Amino acid sequence: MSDIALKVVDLSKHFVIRNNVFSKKKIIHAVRKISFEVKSGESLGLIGESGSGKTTVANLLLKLIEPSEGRIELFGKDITQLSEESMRIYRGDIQIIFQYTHAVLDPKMTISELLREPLEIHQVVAKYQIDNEVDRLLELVGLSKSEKNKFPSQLSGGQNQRILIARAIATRARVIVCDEPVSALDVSVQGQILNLLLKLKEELNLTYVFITHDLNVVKHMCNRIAVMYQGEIVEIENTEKMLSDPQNPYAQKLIKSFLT
Amino acid sequence: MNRRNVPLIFGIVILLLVLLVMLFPEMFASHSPYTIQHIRFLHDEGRLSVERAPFSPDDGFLLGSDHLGRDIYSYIIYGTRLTISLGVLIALGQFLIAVPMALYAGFGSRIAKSVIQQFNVIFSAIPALLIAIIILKLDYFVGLEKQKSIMSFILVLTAVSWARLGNLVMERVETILTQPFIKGEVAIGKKHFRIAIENVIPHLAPELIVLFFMEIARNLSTLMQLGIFSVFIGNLGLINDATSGVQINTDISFEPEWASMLSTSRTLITIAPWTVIYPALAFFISVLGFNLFGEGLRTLMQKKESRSVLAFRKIITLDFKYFCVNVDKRSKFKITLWIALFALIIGFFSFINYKDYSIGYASVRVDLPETTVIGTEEALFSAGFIADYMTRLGIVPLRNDSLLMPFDIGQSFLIEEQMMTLSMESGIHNLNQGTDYAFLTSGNISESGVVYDATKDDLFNISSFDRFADKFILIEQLYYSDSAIRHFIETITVNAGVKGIILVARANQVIQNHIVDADEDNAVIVVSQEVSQVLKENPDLVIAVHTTVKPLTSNGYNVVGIHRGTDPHIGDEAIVVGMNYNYLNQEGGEVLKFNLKLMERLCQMADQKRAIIFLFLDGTINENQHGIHYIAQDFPYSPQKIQVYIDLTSITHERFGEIEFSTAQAPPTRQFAWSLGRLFDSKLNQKGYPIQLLETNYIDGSYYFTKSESDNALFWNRGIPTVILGTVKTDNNIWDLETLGSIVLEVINKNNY
Ligand SMILES: Nc1ncnc2c1ncn2[C@@H]1O[C@H](COP(=O)(O)OP(=O)(O)OP(=O)(O)O)[C@@H](O)[C@H]1O
Ligand SMILES: [Mg+2]
Repeated sequence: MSDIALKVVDLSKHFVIRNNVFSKKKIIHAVRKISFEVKSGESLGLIGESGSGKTTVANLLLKLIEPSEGRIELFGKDITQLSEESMRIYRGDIQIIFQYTHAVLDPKMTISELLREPLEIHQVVAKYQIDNEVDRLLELVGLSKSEKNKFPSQLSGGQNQRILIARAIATRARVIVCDEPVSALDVSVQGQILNLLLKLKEELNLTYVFITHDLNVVKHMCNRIAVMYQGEIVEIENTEKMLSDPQNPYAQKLIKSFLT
Repeated sequence: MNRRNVPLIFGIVILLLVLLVMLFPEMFASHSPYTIQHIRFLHDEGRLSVERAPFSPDDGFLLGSDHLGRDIYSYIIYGTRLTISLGVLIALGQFLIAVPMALYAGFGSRIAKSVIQQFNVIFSAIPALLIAIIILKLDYFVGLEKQKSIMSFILVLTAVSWARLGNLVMERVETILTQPFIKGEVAIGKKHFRIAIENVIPHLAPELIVLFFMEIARNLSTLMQLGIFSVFIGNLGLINDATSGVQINTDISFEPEWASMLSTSRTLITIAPWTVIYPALAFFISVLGFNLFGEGLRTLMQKKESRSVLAFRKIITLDFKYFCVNVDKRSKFKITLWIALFALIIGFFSFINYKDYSIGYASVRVDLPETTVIGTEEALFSAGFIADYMTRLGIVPLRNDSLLMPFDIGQSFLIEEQMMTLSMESGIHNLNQGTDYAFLTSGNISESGVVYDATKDDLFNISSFDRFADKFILIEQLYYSDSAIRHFIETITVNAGVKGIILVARANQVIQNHIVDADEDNAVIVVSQEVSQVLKENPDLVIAVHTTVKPLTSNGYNVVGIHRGTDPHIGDEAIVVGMNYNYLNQEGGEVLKFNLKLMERLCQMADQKRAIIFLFLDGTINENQHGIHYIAQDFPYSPQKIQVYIDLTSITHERFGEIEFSTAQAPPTRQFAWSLGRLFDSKLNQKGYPIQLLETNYIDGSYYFTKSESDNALFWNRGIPTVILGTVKTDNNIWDLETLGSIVLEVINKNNY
C-alpha cells in the first residue's frame, strides 16, 4: 500500500461561470473523471495541449480548489473531504512548484523570510536551527547565502525558480507537483533547473507529478506519461512505450507533432 | 526622484502647522475662546460710541467676533484641537471596522461581504449626511455633555461612513488575493489569518495610509456640512424665546470647535460675513492639507520599493526581535522613527481631551491643629503655615512685607461649654445648641429664672424697667431692625438688672455660634421660633443657662498674597479667590488642606496669564468677625483691575449633599465674572450637582443682594463682581470636594486666559 504515493479516482472538476446576472450559467468541465496512481519514487508526466486541464489537476491535488467529484489519496490517506484546517498537516507531504511568473513569490518578502515560512509552519527544525536550515536549503538548490536578504524582484527568473523549489523541499515533502516549472525560463537555465530537480529526486527520494507540454522535458524526467485531452486522461503509459507506440489517436497526433 | 513631490511638501507644511496649533493654541490665540463681550466702547474722533457684537475685523478682533463677541480668530485656533481630532478619530473608527471586515470578506466570508455591500448600498442611496443629521438631531444626542457628545459623533459618523471604505478595501483585498503568490502561501499551509496579516496587509499598507489621510479630509468636510445644519459637538440648544408658544432655539456651543461656528453664524452671513468665511476657510485649508498629504504619500509610496515593510510585518506579527532581522541600519532607524511618530500621534489623540484638573488634596500630609478659631494660638499657627505655603508657591504679599494682615476684632470669647434648659411640669428639657438656641453675647455665666415676654411691649418707649428685673427678656426680632435691637439690648441691660436677653430667630437665621461678644453679666441668646412659642405659652417656666468661655486675643489674621500674572497686557488684571481657614472639627481641617492644594494647583496652571489674589480669611465662623469685612474696608489692590471675586469661604464640608451657589453679583455688564458664573452654572448642572441658589433680597426693583453681609462685602463696598460657591450638608452627602475642586479648577482655567 504505502508504495503508492498518490492515488486519484474519478476526479472531476467543473467551473460554473456566469458573466453577469442575466446571462445563462455556463459550465466548464475542466477535469472529467480522471484516475491514476503514482508510486513512491516515480515521476509521472502530465502532458496535453493548452486548456486541457493540467493546472486544474495540479490545483486539485494540492487541494487549492475543491473537487466536484472523485477521490484523492495521499499515501493511502483520503484527503478529499478534509477541511482546510485538517489538510494543513498534510500540506507538508505534498508540495507544488509553480510556473515562474512575476509574482509567484510575495514581492514584499525577502528570500530568507520566504524560506523560513515553511520551516516555521511545519516545525521542520528547532527554532534556533532555522537560520542554518535556510542556508542549507539555499546551498541545496545552488544559491549563495548572500541572496538571503534580497527581494524576489532582485533575483533572476532561474534563481526565483530555485527559491520555489527550495520552499517545496523545505517541508520535507515527498510528493512534488511541478506545473511547467521551466517553461517560462531561458533554454540554458531550463537544463540547470531540470538537473537540479533530478538531483533532488535522487537525493531526497521524491515523487514527481510533472506537468508540461514539452515532450523533451518529459522524456528526460519521467518514467510514465499521462496524456490529457479536454479534461480527460486519454492514455497513460510508460515513457518509452508512449513515445514509440501511442494507442490513442489524440496521443498519436500529439507525439507525432512533437517528433516532426 | 528629480521632480519634487509638491503636494507632499505643501501637505506636510499645512499639517505641521495644524499640529502646532493643536498642541499649543495659547501661542497663537489672542483672546480666550470662552470670553464673551457683548458691547464695547469706542473713542471715535473724541466721541464715545457704543458698539454691539458681532464686531467686524479690526485691531481688537483680528478676524472679527461672533454675535456673542467671541474672537473668531481665537475660537478657530482653540477649535482646531477638537475639530481635527474628531476627524482623525472618526477615520480611526472607520478603519477599525472597515479593514477587518474587508479582510473577512476578501477571504470569502459571505456575511462580511453582504454587510459591507448592504451598508454601502444604503448609505450611498440615502446620503450618510442626511442620516447623520437625523440621528444626531435627536433630542437625546443634542443635550449630551462634551465627552459623550464626542463619543456619539464618532460612533454615528463611523457607522454611516465605514462601508464605503470597507468596499474599497475589500476590492483591493480581493485583487491581492488573486495574485499568484497567495496560492503558494496556501499550499505551504499558512493560515488565512497569517496570510491576511503578513501578506495582504503589507501590500495594502501604502494604500491604507493614503486612504487614512483622505478619509480624515472627508470626515472634516462632513463635519463642516453637519455644522451648517446645526449639528455639532456640545450643542446646548438654548431656548431663546418661548413667547407665543413657539420655541426658538439658539444653537450655541461654548466648546471651541469649527462646525458650531458655521451654524451659529448661518443667520449672520449677510450682516457679518466674517463669522462664516473664516471658519469655513479653516475647514478648507485643513481638508486641503490632509488631501495633499495623502496624495503626496501616494506618489511617494508608488515610487519606492521599501524595506520598511519587512520590519512592519515583524511588528504586526508581534515579533519584537525585529531588530535582529537583517534590515539595513538606515531603514531600521526610519522605521523606529515612524513608529515613534505614530505612537506619539495615537497617544496625543487619546489624551487630547484630557487635561488634569484633579486637586489631590488627600495626599497632602501636614499637621494642622484640631481646630482653628480666630483669636486663638492655633489660628496664628495656621495663618503662619498658610503664609509659608504661599511663599513656597511664589505668592508674594500685596502690601508691606507680610502675607499676614492683622485686624482688630474687639473682645470676644470662644465658648467651651454651653447649656440651656427649660424646667416645665413635665420635667427638665435640655435644648440643643445649633438648632434651638445659640449665644450671641456671653461670659462665664450660670443663671436661671423666668421669662418676661416683651414681644408685645413697645420697646422704644419703656415706661418702667421694673418688670424686667431678674428675668430673661424675650424680644421678637421680626419687627425691628438690627440696630434697633442693639439699642434695646443696651437700654434694657443698663437700666434693669436682667438675667439675659432672648431673641426670637428670624426665618432662616442660622442658630449656631461658637464665638460670642464678651459680656460677663448679660447673655444674649437667640432661640428658634419653636422654642419661643413654648416660652410664650408657659409664662411660669424656668430657664437655666450655663456657659464657660475662653477669652480670645483681639486680633484676627487674614493671609493675603498675590500670584502675579505673566501676560504683558492683562498681567495686572486679577482674580480674587477667597477661602476660609477657620474650622472646628476634623472635616474642617480637610477643607483647609483642600484650600491649600487648590491654591497650589491654580498657581501651577500653565496658561496662567492673569494674576490671582488669594485671600485666606480668618473669622469666617462668625459673621461679625469675618475677615472679609476688614479686607473690604481697605482693599489692598486696585478694585478696577479685579475681574471677579470667587468666594469659596462657604466651602466647609468634605462631603456634602448640595451646592450653594450665587451669580447674582456677577451681572452681564461685568463680562468676565458673568461668563465665569455661566461656566460654573453649566458645569455644575452637567455633573448633576443639586444646586441651592443663595437667597437674595430684592431692593429697589433692580438689585439683588445676598442676605449675608459677608457675601456682599466686596461687591457692595468695592464694586467687585462676586461669584459664590459653597457646600451644604443634607441627609445624603454623596458629593466630595475632589470633584468640586476639579470643576473650580477647570472653570477658572477656561475662563481665565
Ligand atoms: N477558476 C476557473 N474558473 C473558470 N474556468 C477555469 C478556471 N480555471 C481553469 N478554467 C478553465 O478550465 C480549463 C482548463 O484549464 P487549465 O488551466 O487547467 O489548463 P492547462 O492545461 O493548465 O492549460 P495550459 O497548458 O495553458 O496551462 C480551461 O478551459 C480554463 O478556461
Ligand atoms: Mg497550466
